[in-house]
Amino acid sequence: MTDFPLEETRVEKPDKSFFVPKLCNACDHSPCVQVCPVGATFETPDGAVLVDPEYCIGCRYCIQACPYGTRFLNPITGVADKCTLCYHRIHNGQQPACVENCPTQARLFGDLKDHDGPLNQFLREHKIQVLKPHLNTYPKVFYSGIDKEVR
Amino acid sequence: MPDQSHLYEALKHVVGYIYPNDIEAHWSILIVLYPYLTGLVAGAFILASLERVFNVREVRPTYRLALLTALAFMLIAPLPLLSHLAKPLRFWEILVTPHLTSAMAMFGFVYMWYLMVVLLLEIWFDYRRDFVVWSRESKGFKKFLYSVLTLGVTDISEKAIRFDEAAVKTITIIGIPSAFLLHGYVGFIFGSIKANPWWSSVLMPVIFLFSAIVSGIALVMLIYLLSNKIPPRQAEHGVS
Amino acid sequence: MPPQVSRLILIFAFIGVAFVATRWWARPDTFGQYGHYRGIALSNAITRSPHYIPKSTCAECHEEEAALNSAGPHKNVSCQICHGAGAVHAEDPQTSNIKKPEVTATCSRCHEARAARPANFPQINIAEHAEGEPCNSCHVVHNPSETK
Repeated sequence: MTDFPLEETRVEKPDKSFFVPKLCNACDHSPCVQVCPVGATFETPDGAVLVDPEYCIGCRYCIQACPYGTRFLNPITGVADKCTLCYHRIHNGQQPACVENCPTQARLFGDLKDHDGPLNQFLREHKIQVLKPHLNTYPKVFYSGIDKEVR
Repeated sequence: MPDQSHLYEALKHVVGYIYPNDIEAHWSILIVLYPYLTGLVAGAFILASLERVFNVREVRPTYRLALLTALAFMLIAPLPLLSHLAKPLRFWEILVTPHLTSAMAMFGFVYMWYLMVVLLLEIWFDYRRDFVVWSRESKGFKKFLYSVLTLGVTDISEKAIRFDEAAVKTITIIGIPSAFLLHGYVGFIFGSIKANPWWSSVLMPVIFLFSAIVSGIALVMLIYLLSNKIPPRQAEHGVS
Repeated sequence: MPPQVSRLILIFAFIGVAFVATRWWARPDTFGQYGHYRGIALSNAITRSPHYIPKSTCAECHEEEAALNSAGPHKNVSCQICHGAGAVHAEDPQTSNIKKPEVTATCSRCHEARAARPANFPQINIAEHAEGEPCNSCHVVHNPSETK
């Protein structure tokens, strides 16, 4: 990447810029679940997408298939890994760690099926965008206020 | 624990958090090798079928060589895949619990179909008469080996041989679309990944197929040349 | 039927039966309980122990810091943002895997001026603002609105 003409193309003062934290989008139609040859990546009944570390064979097909680049081969366990939506926390009445620890409370977690819940209320009242909607993955992670240029 | 030093090296250049796949090519040389080998199989088989089905007399001496080349490369084609798995000892899960929506899992069945029903059967029918003759002529371990390969069928009457030839022809006719399926499916494994715009194309199976035919025929030509030149001797492949 | 064919049918039938039997035998017990995966993976995922603890757990022992912190603009910032995950330390206070953060680098992660940050968020150009001094030579880190 050293040959890339970063210096010439850099805009001194960008018109707009965004922080876009990229996390597992917990897609409803997950490409990573679809391509897993053994059923080691799966969608739980409540909509999270998890990896079974004792069953994954490490073929890395899911890493290639994830449009958001959020799958990786865990160098310590040697199998594919991903954000678990803090499945162990949300099932014990806690918020996911990123939601609880975000210093500016920029993240919101809730039950999408609860139509009057705070999450659905937020989704109704704000301009919502999902990443790469053209791939029909139907993400369950929504971004408020980002531009459609953000991918 | 695998070597992670390159990950730590990369971490120095970023602020905060990155995924390991931002700095690693996760499908590396072994995954490149695998479609290459499968392509050689499909291409070599197409060359063999040229003689059997389309009656191209000129390639007749390469018929058996092409079949054996296809078999040899078919048998080693899964090896790069297997050694690329992070957990190679769990490979059996693909056969025991295949996920039907996964192109990779279904490839296991395409592979088995091609190996068992097309290649092995065609070679067996083609060599059956020879197996019987050799098992009678040779001694010791070779005799045992050839007897096993005849599968206990020692009938080499005129009628049985005619049946074998008809069987080979039928299998080759099934085999041509199967070879297209085999390698076209390899293209589909890559082409069905929507996340990668460079792969995601319906033309992927076609691209794979044509490169397979070219490289497979070239491989058989090369082996044919080499096996006739070194050591220098008469061509002996299937000239009858 | 020619003998070749009947022999092959026999062999293929044997392979087929062996394959089905192996599948039946090797299939994990809880596979397919909820879907195309091992059901036990779900309960394994639920029973993992958390690394991060609620802020109130930190405050149970570290009262002084918690009081200082809750009086200032960092009252919504979790202790673990700067000090790292606290579950191990909370379980056994003798173990100290709590980070003592490098002050200026940690502050700059949020407060270095960036175009993407909201305009009303306090941002500074650290090199100009502090002229090489660490942040805590003027600011009280747990309540940065207080100055020393």
